[in-house]
Amino acid sequence: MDQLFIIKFLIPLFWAIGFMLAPKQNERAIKLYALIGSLVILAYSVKMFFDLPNPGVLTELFKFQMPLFFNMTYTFAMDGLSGLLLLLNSFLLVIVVITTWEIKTDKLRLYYFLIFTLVWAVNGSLLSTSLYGFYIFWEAMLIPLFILVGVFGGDNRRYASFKFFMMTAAGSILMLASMCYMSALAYKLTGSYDLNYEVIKSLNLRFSGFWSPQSLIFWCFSIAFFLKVPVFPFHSWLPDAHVEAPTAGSILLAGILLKLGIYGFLRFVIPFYPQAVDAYRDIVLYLGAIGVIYGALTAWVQKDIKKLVAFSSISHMGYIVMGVFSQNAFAVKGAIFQMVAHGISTPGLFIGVHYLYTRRHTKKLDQFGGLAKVMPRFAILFFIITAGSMAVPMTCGFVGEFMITAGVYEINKTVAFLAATGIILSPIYLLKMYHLTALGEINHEENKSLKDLSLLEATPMIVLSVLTILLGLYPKLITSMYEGTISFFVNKGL
Amino acid sequence: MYENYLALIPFFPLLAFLLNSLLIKNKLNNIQAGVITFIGLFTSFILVIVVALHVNEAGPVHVKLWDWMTYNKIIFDIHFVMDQLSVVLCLMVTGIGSAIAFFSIGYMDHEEKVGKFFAFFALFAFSMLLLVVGENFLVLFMGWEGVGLSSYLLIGFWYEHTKNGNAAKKAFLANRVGDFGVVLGMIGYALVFNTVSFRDLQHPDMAILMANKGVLIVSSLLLVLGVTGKSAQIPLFIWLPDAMMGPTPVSALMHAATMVTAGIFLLCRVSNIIVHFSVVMDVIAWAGALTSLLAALIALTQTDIKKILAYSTVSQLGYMVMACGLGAFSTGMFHVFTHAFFKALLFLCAASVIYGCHHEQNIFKMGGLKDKMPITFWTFVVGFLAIAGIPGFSGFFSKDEILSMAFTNPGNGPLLYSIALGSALLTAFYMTRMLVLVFIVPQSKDVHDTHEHGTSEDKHHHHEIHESPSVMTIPLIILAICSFGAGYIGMPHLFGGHEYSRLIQVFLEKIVAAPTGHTHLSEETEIIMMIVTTLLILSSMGLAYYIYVKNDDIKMRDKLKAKFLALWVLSSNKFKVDELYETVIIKPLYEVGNFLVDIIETYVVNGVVRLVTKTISTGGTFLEETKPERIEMGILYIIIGLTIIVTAVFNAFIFR
Repeated sequence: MDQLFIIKFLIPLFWAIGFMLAPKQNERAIKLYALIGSLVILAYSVKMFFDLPNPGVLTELFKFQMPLFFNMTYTFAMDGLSGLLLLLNSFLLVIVVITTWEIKTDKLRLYYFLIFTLVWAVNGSLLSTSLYGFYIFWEAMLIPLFILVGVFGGDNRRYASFKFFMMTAAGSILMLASMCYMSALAYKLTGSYDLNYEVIKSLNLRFSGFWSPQSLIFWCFSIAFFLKVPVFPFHSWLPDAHVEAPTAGSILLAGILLKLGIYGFLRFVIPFYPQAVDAYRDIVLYLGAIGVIYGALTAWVQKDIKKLVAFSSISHMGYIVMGVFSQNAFAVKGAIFQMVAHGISTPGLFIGVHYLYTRRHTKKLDQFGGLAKVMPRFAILFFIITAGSMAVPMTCGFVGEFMITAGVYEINKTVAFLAATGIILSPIYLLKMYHLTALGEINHEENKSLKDLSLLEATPMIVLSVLTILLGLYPKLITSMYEGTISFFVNKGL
Repeated sequence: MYENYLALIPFFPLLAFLLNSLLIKNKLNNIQAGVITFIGLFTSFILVIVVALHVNEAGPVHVKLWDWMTYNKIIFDIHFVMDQLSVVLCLMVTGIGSAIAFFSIGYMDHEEKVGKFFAFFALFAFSMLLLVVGENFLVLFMGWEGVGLSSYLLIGFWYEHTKNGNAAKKAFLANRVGDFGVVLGMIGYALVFNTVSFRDLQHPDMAILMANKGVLIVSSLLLVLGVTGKSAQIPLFIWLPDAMMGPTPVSALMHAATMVTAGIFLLCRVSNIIVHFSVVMDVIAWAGALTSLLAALIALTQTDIKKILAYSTVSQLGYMVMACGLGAFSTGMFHVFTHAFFKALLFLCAASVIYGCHHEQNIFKMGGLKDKMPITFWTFVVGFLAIAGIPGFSGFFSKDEILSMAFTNPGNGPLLYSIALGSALLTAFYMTRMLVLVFIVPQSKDVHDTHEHGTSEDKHHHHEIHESPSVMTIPLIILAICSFGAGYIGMPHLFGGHEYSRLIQVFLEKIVAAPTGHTHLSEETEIIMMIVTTLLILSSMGLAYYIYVKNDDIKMRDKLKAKFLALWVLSSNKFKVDELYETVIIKPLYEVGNFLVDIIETYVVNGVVRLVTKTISTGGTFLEETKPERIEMGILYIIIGLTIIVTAVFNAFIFR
């Protein structure tokens, strides 16, 4: 138990409130304040991770009794998996702050406030192991992102932000309903409505076909998480949200928020509903495989770069869902790796799109071409990140996809074959994107005088490129962090 | 000590890559950039020789660098090995690689972005070395895709032209189709044998092998798909001719001598397993044989000097693959070895010609270069004699052994033999055509037989044709010597006696599966076959000479063309394979994508969302019309409704 935990945990929120108090005129100071804040948060995330006595088990960090509120408890705990995602989250915060350093807006304080509260809410849901705590933060995440898209987004931002909010919230309602039900059960069992980890484990819901509690609750949770991930066919909010979101929103959305859905599966579904997971495994595996192909084919025909990257996310997330549901230790390990890999490559692509957009104010693919000539630094970095995204060996993208394919192959060969078509399909759309932006002749007069990336602009892409290659060559750097936890996410005896 | 040397072999090209790519902005001139890469490769070459001598005496050298991942008992580690098979490939990659790097210093002299060129060159060498020294499937696959990537980068080197970019993309995608097979095949093998290490796969457990026959056959066929991708066989050969968009030295190194032979290398690596499955072996043999014939037919009518060589490479690769399919893996590797020299030589000669002719590539616009470029001419002749299979030159020995392997193969032998012989004759024909048109016949004013070539605008390109500088001719001479001599390490029993025959094959057969089931030929039969083959080849050459030199008034050619019009049209249109894939696979797939976006995405995925919203808003309107007097009443309704739903659900399941 860490007495200082709650203070450390609240830092992002305090920091966010600081923005509201800051003087409006001094933009530079605000930006500097944001940068320092992001570095502080990264530092304490690292420290928290390395303070873990054993990353293989859930270590309780803080417990909060609420005697007046149905005697509920509020538990914060952390293991290798949540620690890893915590690190990814705060790392992406730093990346976001640096990438959008040149942002021009009169609502700068609101912008940073939203980003910091968003990161805080993500941290909260990663660390909560009582289901209610998780739920509160899960919902809390929606609000800052909703405002971020709604205020700072593109032309169609209103539609996109509402759609995103309503669809995710609709899933949450299902989750809430099943939580009510579980609470009622828990009350019978323990005399408390509390749903902390041990209690959920001891519920032992009955499973006998679709119309049984375990199955229904499984589907309620699953649909909530499917909507978040998003798994085909629950994805319709994602392309809209990505296209309209400002870069910061896109980076955080693709980099970490989508992974929260997967995290939810690992933390609150797989360990508790083993029979349901087993029974419906194939359905989800096929959904994942269809997602891989569907996302790739739809990405291919897009004419907007951001939309292309958004659909590629659906393809990549399909892999992760398959890995998680295959219930094969290797594939689960790969899926968690792929969460990090996707959290590196897709934000990288969005950063590239951001730089193109800030220069040309368009995201249409046919407006570019031949940029390698005028922006060589951009072209090289963008290529490395693209290679990571299309899973070239020796980049991080390969590790996860390979492990998932191998693990799924052992469970269901058909699905593995379908999934492996991603190997062929991913370069089709990613190379299309790269060729239409960086290669070929310069057809547009405006593109002839584009400035190459400044050192500041290049920094996030350099960092992501280095990570892409480093993790591809030495994946143990990441896997060693969560290796011990895998056994909790794989139901044995299946 | 040798372990450290082995670990350093891929390291030097990597170092050259890093130096060249990181110093690109600084004042690194063209020659310095080239020298860095050359030194990187040459240092590795020396190390390879040192290690190879040790391997020859003491057996394979292993070095394990770090663990990549483990899965139950399967260890994926970064592990290098230098065994008999790697030795041959390593010598080729670093040796021929150094020669071509040296040549490129001259060839790329006047170009821009030379630093980038040499960086990619070194990256390729690094990946290729990774591929050949990889001790397990993982490292092999890293190199496998690494060479694909560097090939992509180099084909698209002059990316300003969309055509080059498309060629690069095509190469990458065709290779990716193959990689799909390699990944799944590798996983299939790994899960059956519980290992990815080649050392273990070399002596597979027969009980496991037989128990998992079905899976292994499928996995092997998937690997063969990978082979057809990398080694440009039917059905994936289409990328290699387009790959000629890259700088010519690159075509020599990657798309002729080394990279494209990776497929044959992979077959050798798993030879001890696939040799047990006759289905797989037949597929390999037929893929190789048909490819060699098809490519040779296409080469007959091409007019671009590089395209002819490209199709010739495809055809020769077909030979090697066919040899593997006949069970003669070591012979296939022997042909890889000899082919590497003479094809690299031919490509470099072509590069020298193109350099001398100021980037003219149409053979009908060349001619009479014999006197203007004597060194290029004579070295080209050596390469020509080698590829045609004239006795004494390296190509003869390997080709002859493949032919006799086909002849003596019990199953499909005769048919495969006649196909192979046919493509050998075609090879002799189109190579002669190329030789006489480029070097011997005087340059014709008539450019009647040209088509599809737009690069011929500069009228004065023949004004100052000159021999290339010695930085380019020295590698040519070295390669010419090798092209002549490389065959003598694999002579048939007939010539070498007990002591000197089949040296390289025996050396390799310590690792790869030895041929089995072939009937033995008596020496007389062997001699007769050799003589007959040689005579046939000579007459094929004579025919080409007669058509293109003696009868250069075009009439004869036109007559021939008219006679074989259908074939001629097919051949000059490359059998329309590209168009076939375009209409049968790519366009429909794109249409599916469009369909998904226009129909499914709009009306189904979003349609459901709209439907739900519509229902809710209709319900809302309905509620509004019932007009609760105050807002509290509305909330009350909601609470009542929720309670009913929740209770209903709970009752249904809790108390059931």
